[in-house]
Amino acid sequence: MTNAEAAEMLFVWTPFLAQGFAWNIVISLAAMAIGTPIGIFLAQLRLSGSRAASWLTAMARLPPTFVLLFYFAYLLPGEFAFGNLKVEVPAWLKASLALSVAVVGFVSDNAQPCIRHLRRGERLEALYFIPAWTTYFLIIVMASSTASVIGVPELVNRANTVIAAAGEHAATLWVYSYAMLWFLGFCLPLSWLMNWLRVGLAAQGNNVDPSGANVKVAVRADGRADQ
Amino acid sequence: MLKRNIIFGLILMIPLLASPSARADDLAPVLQTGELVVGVKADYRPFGYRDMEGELAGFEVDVAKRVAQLLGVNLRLIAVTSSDRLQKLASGEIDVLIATLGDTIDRRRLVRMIEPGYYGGGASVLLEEASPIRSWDDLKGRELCAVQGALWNRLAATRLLAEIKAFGSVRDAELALRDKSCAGWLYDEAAIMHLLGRAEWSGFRMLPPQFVAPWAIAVANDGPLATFLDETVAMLLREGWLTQLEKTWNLPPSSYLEQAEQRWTQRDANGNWLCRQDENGKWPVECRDLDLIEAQDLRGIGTAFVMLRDQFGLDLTPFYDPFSRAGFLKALATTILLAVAAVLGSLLFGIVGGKMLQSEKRLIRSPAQMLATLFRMTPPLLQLYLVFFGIGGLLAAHGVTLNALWVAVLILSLYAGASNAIAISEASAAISIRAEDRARKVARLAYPTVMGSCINIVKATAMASAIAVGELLHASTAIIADYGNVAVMMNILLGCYVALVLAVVYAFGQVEKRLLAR
Repeated sequence: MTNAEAAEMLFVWTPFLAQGFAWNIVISLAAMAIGTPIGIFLAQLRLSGSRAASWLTAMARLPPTFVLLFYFAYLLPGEFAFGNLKVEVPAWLKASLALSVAVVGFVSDNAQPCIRHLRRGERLEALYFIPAWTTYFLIIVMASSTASVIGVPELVNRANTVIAAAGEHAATLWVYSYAMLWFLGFCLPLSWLMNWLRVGLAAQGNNVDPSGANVKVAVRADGRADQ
Repeated sequence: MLKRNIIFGLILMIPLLASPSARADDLAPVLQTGELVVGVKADYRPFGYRDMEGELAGFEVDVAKRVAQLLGVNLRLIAVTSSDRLQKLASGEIDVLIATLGDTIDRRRLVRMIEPGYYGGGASVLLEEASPIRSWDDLKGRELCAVQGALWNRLAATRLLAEIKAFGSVRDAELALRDKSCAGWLYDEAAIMHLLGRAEWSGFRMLPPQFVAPWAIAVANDGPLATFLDETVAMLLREGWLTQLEKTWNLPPSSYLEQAEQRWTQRDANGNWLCRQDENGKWPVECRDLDLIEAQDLRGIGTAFVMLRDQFGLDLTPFYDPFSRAGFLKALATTILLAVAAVLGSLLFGIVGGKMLQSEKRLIRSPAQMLATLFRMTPPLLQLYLVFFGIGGLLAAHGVTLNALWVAVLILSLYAGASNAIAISEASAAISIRAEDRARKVARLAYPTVMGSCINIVKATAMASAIAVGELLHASTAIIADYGNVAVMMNILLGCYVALVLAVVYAFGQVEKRLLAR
């Protein structure tokens, strides 16, 4: 396969792969939408001294997302019936649920200082939660690629389809590298933006509060990849 | 007196309530909704595959169509794989399974197999022309690629003493064989025979079939649907419809179909079929395939495990069966090895990378920055695929094969190492060069982040299953594919991982106490 042939193949399949990446975003947003409110709720309970909430947060931090993905895929029924109402649980939603467990743990830990600042009326410091949350969202976007193993037609799953369709071994390296570019292209600018925001917030903090006491807020911007 | 009788009657009813209804009417709901849901293969030409329009087609799809037509209902097809087909049937996602499922004694304990089989076949091994393997006896100690959930995996491992590397999909097994990461590919005779007809597999050959078994349609439980299907397949054999279908799909004549057709078209002196159902809907013994393969060996105390399963639905038989137990224990050891190696690797990459990021020379700093970004901003699963299948394929052309386990260790180490490097370089920037006991201070500052990324990398070891590293998740899904005990295995798996993560947290706590704290 020459470079020109490879470029043509990638061009032809781009719309198909782009749809797959849209699935990654949908799965990740759903995971954040499920996990964030529960995490904030737990954080509030913990601030009022609830031990159950601390325990639940610890539980949310423990299981590997990749194992939970299989756990939900195998054990959750594909359909729930409430009387006459039937609710379907498609594979992508199972993936979102698996990812949302890690989100609960992250938000519960990081919303705590944020809520504390808000209660003290320190709006600016509370804003640190936004870049931390967004950085974690990026980690979830990357982790959403694991949904491919339970058959969700997201980017990595579709990359495998393209490789099978190309039927040529040389296509493998090209297609996977191209899929990586999609993730890089989405995550890198957002990550720069969040860094810029963080620096901006710190600078503002310095202006407002010359003592600089609260500049290093306990935001764990390092909410590292949880797979 | 009356009261006592009522109580007595209720007690008698308890077992009826407790035991799953053995002959639940599974046909009525199908007729009521007017839809039959059939699971077929999508990766098995010409039995079940996707055609040019992406529609499911093939020999088995045609059988499914005929069955739905005879029932007078619509047909909905769902694609299944060898590793999830029995679980989809058990969960009720599909009503009927027609997916190259070999009829064995073990599987008869899990599902209701339809007799007679609609096709039959055995195992074969796809090999390179130049391979030194000439017969099944040569497989001893050889590494074979395989597909999870295939009956042959266990037989080849226990009876022929081959090393089985089972992949989650046919595609991955194919790629692995092409990358020469195994001596051959153990799979169904029919599928391999079909592959050999295609140009891309010229230069390969196959072993003669072994372990021949009938392929059967399966349903979840015994019931009217099963009885109907028994009668239907018998009819299709008598009509010669199945041999006709075999010709339509250009399949070589199978000896199973020939013999079955002969058997099922025999008549007695009165001109009735020799093989006909008795009043209980059972076939006479001489018409049944009873010399089926038994892959598991459950005797002695094993019967207690069988009782536990049949009475309480708690299937721990894999842990009694030496083959599955050894597989699971080996997987546990592999997971621990992966975890320890990845943690050490990520610390090494973290320290070296941290130094490079702090370097004053741009030539050293920039590449380190780029690599750290690349490894943090792309999914590790994709990194695994890229290195194992992509780069592995290139290297295979030069006669070098990659070891899946060490590829996984490398990728996991780099992924967590990138985070560690950034944390260490930030910490070292924050501590003055002239500080006393500097290394310890840097370590203490970087410690929370490094611990976090190391814990995450231990969790991420499960991902190595995607390139067929035989770790815990891989072993568990393989056992599920054989036994169908989903809930038991998934809970054991989750429990193992939680224990592993807790152990790592504890170990880090000890390190902090001994080395970092004053």
